[in-house]
Amino acid sequence: MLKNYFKIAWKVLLRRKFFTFISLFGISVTLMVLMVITAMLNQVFGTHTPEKKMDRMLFVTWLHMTGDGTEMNSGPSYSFLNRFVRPLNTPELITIYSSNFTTFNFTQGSKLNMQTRYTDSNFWRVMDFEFIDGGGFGDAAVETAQKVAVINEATSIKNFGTVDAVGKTLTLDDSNYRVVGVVKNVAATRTESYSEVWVPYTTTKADLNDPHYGGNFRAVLLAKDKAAIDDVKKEFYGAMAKVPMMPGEDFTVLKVFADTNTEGFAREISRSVDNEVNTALLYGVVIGGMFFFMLIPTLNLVNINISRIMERASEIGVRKAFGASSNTLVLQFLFENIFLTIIGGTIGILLAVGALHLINNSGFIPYAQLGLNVPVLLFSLLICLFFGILSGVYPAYKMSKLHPASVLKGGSK
Amino acid sequence: MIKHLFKLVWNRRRANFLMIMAIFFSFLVLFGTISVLVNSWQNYKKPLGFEPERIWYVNIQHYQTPKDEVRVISEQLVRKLQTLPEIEHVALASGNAAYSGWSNMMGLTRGNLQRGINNVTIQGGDFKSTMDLNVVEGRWFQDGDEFSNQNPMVITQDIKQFFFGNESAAGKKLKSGDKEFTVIGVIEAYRTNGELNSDAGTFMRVSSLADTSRWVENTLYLRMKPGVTSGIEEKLLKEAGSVATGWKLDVKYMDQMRASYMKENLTPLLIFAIICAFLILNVALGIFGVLWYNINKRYSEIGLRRALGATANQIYKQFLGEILVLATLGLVLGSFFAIQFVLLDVMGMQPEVYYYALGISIVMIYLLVIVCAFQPSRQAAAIHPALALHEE
Repeated sequence: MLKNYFKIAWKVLLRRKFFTFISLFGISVTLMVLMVITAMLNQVFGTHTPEKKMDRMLFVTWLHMTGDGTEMNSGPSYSFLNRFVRPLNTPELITIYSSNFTTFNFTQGSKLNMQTRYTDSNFWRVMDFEFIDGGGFGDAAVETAQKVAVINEATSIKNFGTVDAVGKTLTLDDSNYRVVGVVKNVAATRTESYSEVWVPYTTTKADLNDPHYGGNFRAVLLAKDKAAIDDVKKEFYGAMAKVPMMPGEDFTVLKVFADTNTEGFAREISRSVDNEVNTALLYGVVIGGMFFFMLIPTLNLVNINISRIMERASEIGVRKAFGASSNTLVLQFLFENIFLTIIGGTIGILLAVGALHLINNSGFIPYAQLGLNVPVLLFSLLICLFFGILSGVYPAYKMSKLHPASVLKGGSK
Repeated sequence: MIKHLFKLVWNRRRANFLMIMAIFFSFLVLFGTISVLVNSWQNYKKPLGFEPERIWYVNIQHYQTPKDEVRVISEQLVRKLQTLPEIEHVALASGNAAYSGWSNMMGLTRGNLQRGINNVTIQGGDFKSTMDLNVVEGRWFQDGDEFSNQNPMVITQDIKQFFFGNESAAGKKLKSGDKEFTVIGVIEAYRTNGELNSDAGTFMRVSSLADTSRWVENTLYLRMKPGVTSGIEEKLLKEAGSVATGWKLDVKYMDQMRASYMKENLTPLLIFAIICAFLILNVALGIFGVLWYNINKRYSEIGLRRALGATANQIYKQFLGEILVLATLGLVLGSFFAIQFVLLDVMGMQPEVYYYALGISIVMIYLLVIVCAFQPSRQAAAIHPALALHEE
């Protein structure tokens, strides 16, 4: 039975090659675009290295102060995080580290720019970097302000021509650091962990004791498990409500936020200053956007399918006259349509692989490693089925309504 | 004739409904994309107001140098850099330049008029020559202005238009909170959001490094002589280091900052345009296929009309007319929604941008359906009545 369906589907596809081309073109390019978008979302928000414990992480990155008509937005300073966030009890681990700074050195007359973060030793416990060589620096190195550095693969190759760099000396600005670890490149879209060089925060020339609240640091709070996230938030916001205002400044309201990765993204877009940010809207926009994008090719497919199916009116008439029920015909047509979308989907996957390869090599996102993985593929399979069923149902229903007698007579109006 | 066409479309309303929906949605997508493109293009055409070539944008980190020393050393540093043969002009000012990602907004008022404006503070050197600004009215700052109790300011042309219309602005006052500024000159533009983005306008003021009530600005703008390459940077940093020991100077080349700004802003536009083109192509192919099929199905109808004396040209016009009626229905529906977008100002652009976009999108959709209908309609016109009726 199924074999017959395959046979018919195949013959129908070959019969009107132009229609087949239009359908496949629409399906495959639509799927390609959706897959590229999914791969990008996965790269930015997915749980993978270095944030393998993403579902337990809360990020503190934004400090918002207002008062007397002025407003200040910045990251928190080291002293602020150390004074008010470090003493929290509920998180299992807390790491405090800086945003990216540009450091450089001059080798053989040319200038090398490197993104550098100042981190504590907990950073290596909270994040799960993939070390090629060596490891992160420990508590002792941070406390005694040892000049040690962890670098990524690309920096290692640019500076030393090899990934085997542990023990070598790296010049950052005017200081010499000893390389203790080399990690795999992290894509620049992982905004909370991405960098090229990581060094102990105690080695910074900036004044860590500067009591101002605004600065260039950030923190990650790691909850014991996913369920404990809410407890951590509760303690965090409770503690923040008690933070005294900085004397000598005009600010009267201070807001700091602990957000999960997606919440942080939603907050960055909405600039919301409520403790709880609405992520439903973000999901709504993304899903709505994808749906709208699929709508036009789907409408088109429905149009084409109706034309194709009416062409087969006499075949349907004969089958009905010989006793096939409407349901059988609807199922058969849906099967054919899903068959078509799966062929289109396969082409789409191939196109997506090509497009992702192109994006990775374009250097547009530093160290991008976009790829198709199981969740992305499963998602595209789901889209395929959705596509196939959605664009097949209405034409199939219309077809099953045909009256055998009138069809066989010849008038198919 | 037109009434007749509407009747024909109405008779096949079920099949045509889907076509109208396809045209409707593609019109909306086209309208959105073209609005964004027109907006960027209009911004791009406006003057930038300064010349980014050969500018080095240098951020200074003072680290733990005491504040009083920072003032003295900054002054010495500017003077030292002015003596270097590779450098044409030097200025010390706030860091909110174009492509830097920084902004510093301040509310200005005059009577009932109020507007948030980007605010540049100049603290040393010659900012006008460094950035190659064009003074169109009044004068630029001169020595002594930094101590004047009039709080002199220079504004850009669009700010002048906003507050003073076509009147002369020189000598007039603008307020920010309790503080009163005096406009001494107008420059053509100084767009700090880059050439593809709209701009809120800029005003500039001067302050002295000796004035301890003011914050020390930490960005140097260097206009290099033509032919100076980045190879000179190491030497320059050494010269600077002899005055400002222990400070870090982070040099960026403004033309590179501009290039990466353009890349970051043009890529999304390009992606939008490509996706839009794909959707439109998809719809075009679909319309073509459906028309082609419909005409095959209406073989006998066409044969009959031909037999009753209709010319090939009339048949051709009928089919083209039908698709134009369909497109018009889709466009009327689409324009209705598009105008809601304009009224609600969803995308926050100038109203004229929307009108351009509306016009361009309508023309493009009509062109598209005419191109798609061309071949099938000709095929219909070529049907021979005898053959068609014979088949029946």
